[in-house]
Amino acid sequence: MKSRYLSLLVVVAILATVLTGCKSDTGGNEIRIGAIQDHSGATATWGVTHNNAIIQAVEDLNEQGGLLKGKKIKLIQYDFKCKVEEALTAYSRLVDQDKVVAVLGPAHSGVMMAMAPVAEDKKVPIISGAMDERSLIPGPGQVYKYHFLNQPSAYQQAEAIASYALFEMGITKVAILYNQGNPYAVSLAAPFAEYFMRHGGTVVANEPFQPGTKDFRPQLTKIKQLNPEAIHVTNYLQENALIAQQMRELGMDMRILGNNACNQPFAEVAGEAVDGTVYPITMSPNDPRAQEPFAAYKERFGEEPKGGIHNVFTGHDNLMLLADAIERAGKADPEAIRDALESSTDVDTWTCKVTIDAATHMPIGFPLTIVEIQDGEYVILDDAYLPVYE
Amino acid sequence: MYILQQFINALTTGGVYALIAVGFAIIYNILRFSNWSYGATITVSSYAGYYVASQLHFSFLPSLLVAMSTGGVLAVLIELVAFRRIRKQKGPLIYFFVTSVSVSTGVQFLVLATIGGYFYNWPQIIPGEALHIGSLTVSTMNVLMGGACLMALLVLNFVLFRTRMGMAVRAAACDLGVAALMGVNIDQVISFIFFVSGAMAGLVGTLVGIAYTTYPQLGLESMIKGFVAAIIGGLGSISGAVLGSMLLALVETAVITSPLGASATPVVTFVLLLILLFVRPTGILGKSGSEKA
Amino acid sequence: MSYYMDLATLVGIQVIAVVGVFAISGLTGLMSLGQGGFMAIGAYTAVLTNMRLGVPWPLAILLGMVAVCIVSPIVGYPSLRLRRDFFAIATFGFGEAVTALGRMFTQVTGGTMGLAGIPRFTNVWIVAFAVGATIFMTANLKNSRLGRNSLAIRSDELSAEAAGIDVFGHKMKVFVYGASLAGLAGGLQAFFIHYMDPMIFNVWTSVEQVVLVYFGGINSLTGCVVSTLLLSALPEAFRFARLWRVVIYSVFVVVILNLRPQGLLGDYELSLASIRGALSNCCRSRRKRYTESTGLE
Repeated sequence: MKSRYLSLLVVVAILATVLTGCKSDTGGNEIRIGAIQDHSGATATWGVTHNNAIIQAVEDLNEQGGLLKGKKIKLIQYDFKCKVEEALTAYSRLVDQDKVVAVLGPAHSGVMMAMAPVAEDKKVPIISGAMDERSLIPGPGQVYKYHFLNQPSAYQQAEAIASYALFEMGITKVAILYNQGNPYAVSLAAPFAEYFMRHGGTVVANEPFQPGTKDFRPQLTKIKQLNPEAIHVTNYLQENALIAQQMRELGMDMRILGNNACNQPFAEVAGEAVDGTVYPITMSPNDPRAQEPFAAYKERFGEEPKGGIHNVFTGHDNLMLLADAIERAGKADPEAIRDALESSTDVDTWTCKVTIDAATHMPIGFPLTIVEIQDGEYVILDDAYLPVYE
Repeated sequence: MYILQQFINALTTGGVYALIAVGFAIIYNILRFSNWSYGATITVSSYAGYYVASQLHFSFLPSLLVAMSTGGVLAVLIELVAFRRIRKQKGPLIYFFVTSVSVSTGVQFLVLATIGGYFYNWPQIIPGEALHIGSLTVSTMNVLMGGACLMALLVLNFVLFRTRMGMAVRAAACDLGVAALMGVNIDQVISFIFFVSGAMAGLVGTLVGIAYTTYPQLGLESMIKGFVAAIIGGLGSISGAVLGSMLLALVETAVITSPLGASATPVVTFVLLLILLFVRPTGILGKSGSEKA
Repeated sequence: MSYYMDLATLVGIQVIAVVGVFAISGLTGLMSLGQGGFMAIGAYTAVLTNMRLGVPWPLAILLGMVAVCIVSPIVGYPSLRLRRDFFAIATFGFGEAVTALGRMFTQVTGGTMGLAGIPRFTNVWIVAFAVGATIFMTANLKNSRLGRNSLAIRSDELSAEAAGIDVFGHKMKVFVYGASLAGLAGGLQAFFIHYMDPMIFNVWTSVEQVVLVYFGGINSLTGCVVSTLLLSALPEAFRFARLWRVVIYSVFVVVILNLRPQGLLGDYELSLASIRGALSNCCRSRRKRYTESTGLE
């Protein structure tokens, strides 16, 4: 008998929380913006920093008077735990329940590829950092009208590092080691190989590894045989760091060509194994422009941005792009904001002046910084690099 | 040379798997269920060890001790909270598995909620350079793990066959009911077994944490590997767990080295697993189960 | 409103998969950790035949189920003879293999980067219909001889065999049935969330479904439906608590499994008879109080 009451209690408890979770308030004098980031999944390090940057940017903006003649921005945040389904549910909730006028999405290709078509249905624009071009362009000549990217796409970044390696560093023989289960890694590896080979280089090995792998020695030993001049890694921070350390242990001292996951705290985590790594990034920690935001972040959150300063910039700049669009739209209306976003021209953000290409919803001419890690320092080799096309 | 280096790679990976599989097999041998909360224990003890190593600047052995004790205590607690009642009510074995899975998820998210999703690199408490024998390389960590595994096996052997508690454990492994009738304090024995398994988890958490960083999914990922390895070798036997680990590592490395590449690893592993289960379901060194059909 | 419809659709899809697991694990006591693999096969077949070959989507989903019906006996044949634990392991390996194969054949499946832009055909009404049909079929299964045989096998395989039940054949039937439900759920989900990749359906999907069945009560079909509804709604309601909600969810499960092992609903089944019974009970007690208090009849 007692256990019956227990199960009844459990049911009531659950129902009560479901019902209380259902209340939705509609603010009158505020502009509601949603943010979907990864707070607890595999990319939580970056997601939390990105999210914090958004929080701080909103606070700063509200302090300066808000938008549209004094309306405050209300930020509603959700954690999608690095899972596509969670992100989709969060987006639905933001649009239908929380009634936001725009969403700041995650820098997660797989998620945005699934969300972009949903955004077409629900008609609330999303600005994200998802680098895979397929999340913006479903087919030739088409574009997802409600999704905007505010950093160079995977193609652009892969080609940037390939171009730099080939033309500035004279490297012609490369091996690639990538996480086969990570869409972001795969979306960088393929264009790199393509560009590299098209412009006369050789890719001696295109080695995948299974997600969850922590010991890369079999693949590395295989690569060592083929004697490349450099190894290109396109994975998340933890994997890149382990790869670098294991490479050095096996006596492989060739250079590492990295991706934007190699920004700070890569050198701190991986130590001297990664000296000499060259990678493309939207914002380097040594950049003079980064100093003030870094300090401001540290003061506001009591710790350094664990996900790297570039994520602070991305979070902040995405909000800036959105804020500019809202002002130009003149009203807190998703359609108007979308149109304004599409016509963004020379919008002032921390990284650079952003102009969105209406045909692709990607920024035009967004320069990348090429960084080399020397003795644990992030040295800028070129702060406005664009790939060479022949 | 190349093949030899790959062979060594396989052996060292096998050593890691063996370390994990043994702790897992301990529970399975005695209590006959797959304890998926083992992964949670690995994760928590790894964080505990990391904490004392990095914040309190403990050296290797004290950190290891802390991790192992944390693991042991946690495992005993989990048994008390989640499994004891089911055992007393003579619930079917499957309930243990389902509960252990829920415990695992709960603990993992507890870690995420309190500590966060970041991964942590241990301070340098183990000499870092690899050993070079001619043109072959072996990492110090892997040697340490292999050594730890052997030590653990020796200690376990000693405890099981030379102590009274060990005898009680073996009796309980044969038949819980009869052992109780013979005057063995079953509750105590089971707590002891969980403590040992938890201590092994602490060992795994420390070594794997140092080698591959400590992160919230550490326990889960390690455990799945150990689980598969233990099955291949035979869930009834501890040396089987070691053998299975070696085999698993060899197969994986062979597939990676081959033109198939790492993409094919799970497929090959599965096919092998199926063949093995069909031909010899108890695993290579396993003993036939006492469960009916 | 639309948010609730979306949520209801997703929960409904989950119910279909869980009912399949109910048949396999609840009734027959098999622990299949490969349901995720079947969901993936159903999903990919449905989506690929629809998008690449232009097959109309209801037929495509059916084709997905057919594909599962072909694959599951192949998986089942060697593994169903095994002991309970080993069967779980074999199905686990199968699930992992499906994921790996999906990742390998990038040309076909889109590989790791997944298939995007899947048109949305599933909506809440289709799912509601599918859920209704599934529950109806499974309830009939449970009350039929097939169902009773399952229970017998779950309790004691050896005795069931001795009593003349073809244990292996029966297990195979139930396994294929549960797997095809998983295939159905997978197809519906792919056509709903616009996206499919080999990693979505994994061992944790299967494990979660098993937990839901045990939470609801392995004897109660209503139980597993109710538990799915509750425990899927719970994380949504707790969305603001982000990570702690999963901890709370796990605590609920452990508590129920420990203190009430027969599950939330035990043996209770919602049926016309039970509803009538409940109503008459409530009326009877009311009548009793009335007669007691007034002395009238």
